[in-house]
Amino acid sequence: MNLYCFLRRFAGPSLSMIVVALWYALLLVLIFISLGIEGVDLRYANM
Amino acid sequence: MGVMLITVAIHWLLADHLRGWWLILVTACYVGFYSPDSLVLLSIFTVVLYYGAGKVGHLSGRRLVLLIAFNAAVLCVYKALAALSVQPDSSGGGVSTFIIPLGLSYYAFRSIHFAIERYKGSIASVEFYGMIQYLFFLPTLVAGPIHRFPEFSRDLQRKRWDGFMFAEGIERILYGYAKIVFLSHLLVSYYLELYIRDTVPVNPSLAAYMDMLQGGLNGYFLFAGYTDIAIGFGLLMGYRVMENFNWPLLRENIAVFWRNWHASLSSWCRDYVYMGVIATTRSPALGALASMIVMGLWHEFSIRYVLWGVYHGLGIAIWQQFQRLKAYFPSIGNRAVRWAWQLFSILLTLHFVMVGFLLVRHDTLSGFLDQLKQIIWLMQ
Repeated sequence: MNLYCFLRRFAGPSLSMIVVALWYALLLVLIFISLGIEGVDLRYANM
Repeated sequence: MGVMLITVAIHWLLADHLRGWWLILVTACYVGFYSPDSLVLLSIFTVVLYYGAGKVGHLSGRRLVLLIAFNAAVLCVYKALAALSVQPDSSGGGVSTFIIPLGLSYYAFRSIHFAIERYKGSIASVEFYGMIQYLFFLPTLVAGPIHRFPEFSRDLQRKRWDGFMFAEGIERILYGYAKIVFLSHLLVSYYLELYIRDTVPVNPSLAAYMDMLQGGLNGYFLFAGYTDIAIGFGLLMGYRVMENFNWPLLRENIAVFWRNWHASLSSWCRDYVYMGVIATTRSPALGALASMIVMGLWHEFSIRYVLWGVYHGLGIAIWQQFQRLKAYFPSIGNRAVRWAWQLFSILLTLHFVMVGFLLVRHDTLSGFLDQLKQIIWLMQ
């Protein structure tokens, strides 16, 4: 929500929410790609 | 993650007066499962602190000394046992066969903080329920931060759902996992390691330099990631735990670095070691040296961590002297020169810190000096 509050200073609520959602999605993708590349079995990744 | 989700969900489903007991129960089960001796120790610490600190009225100096001595002695005994059980391994280094009880270093320092603040009068009275919740607080028990009781007590009073806090908690946990899994494991430990392996035959000096950066960055991303998860976990249940890291590797000098790296430990040492030494000796340099040695011993009872403490203590003492001399230098008026000086300061601080990390990564002083020599070759 820190990011959302920061973005709200420059953009409207909808645009801010879209950017935040995309940023979170990117982080999740990076986390799962990292787990995949390292060969960690997702069932035991303590996620 | 599963423990976290179940703990948070049940926490908010329960009635107000049961939430604290629920978290204490989860902490007891978690610690008891992974480190039963730690559960016994934590319980002893809680009882000793409760009866030692007295419910109301002023805590006497004698009792304070006894409480500090008890907490410090238990911590020292376990750290010493770990240091004495080091066995040589195949790589020529050493590995400890004794495992320190889970979170002992953190809750021992929390107990000392509680006793000192009780003595100073900032904790006016002791209520068992509040104190046990503070010491049995799962989010910060394993990897810190060493949060403070007065702030924790304020959160205990509030006890209401806050949607913004909850969302912030999820965000912090996501950042924590990204730091651990993506930045630390994938970029630093995996890709940078591949690059270093390829560079060793071509340019061993550059490989040694990159290896030094790898160790420091890996430690930072891992520790900052665990802290983010701990803070996020706390936020999900309505507790705002103090920050531990605030862009420490981009700081202009070693004093500011220590205000932003493991801030809960460095502020603990500032309040209870540095200030104490200054009050008796009037020497900031001695205060810095004592604080950093305590910080080193807190990590591990070993020569390398004492040297690490002395190294940082001397760094801070030299910086303090430099601040005095700065008054005699002409001020930099040119913007570009000022910017270049700032950049140089950041790079100098970063490399000073990285050399410190290198010192504690090596089991022997000769191993550290060999790598340092290789790195210095790169600069020539």
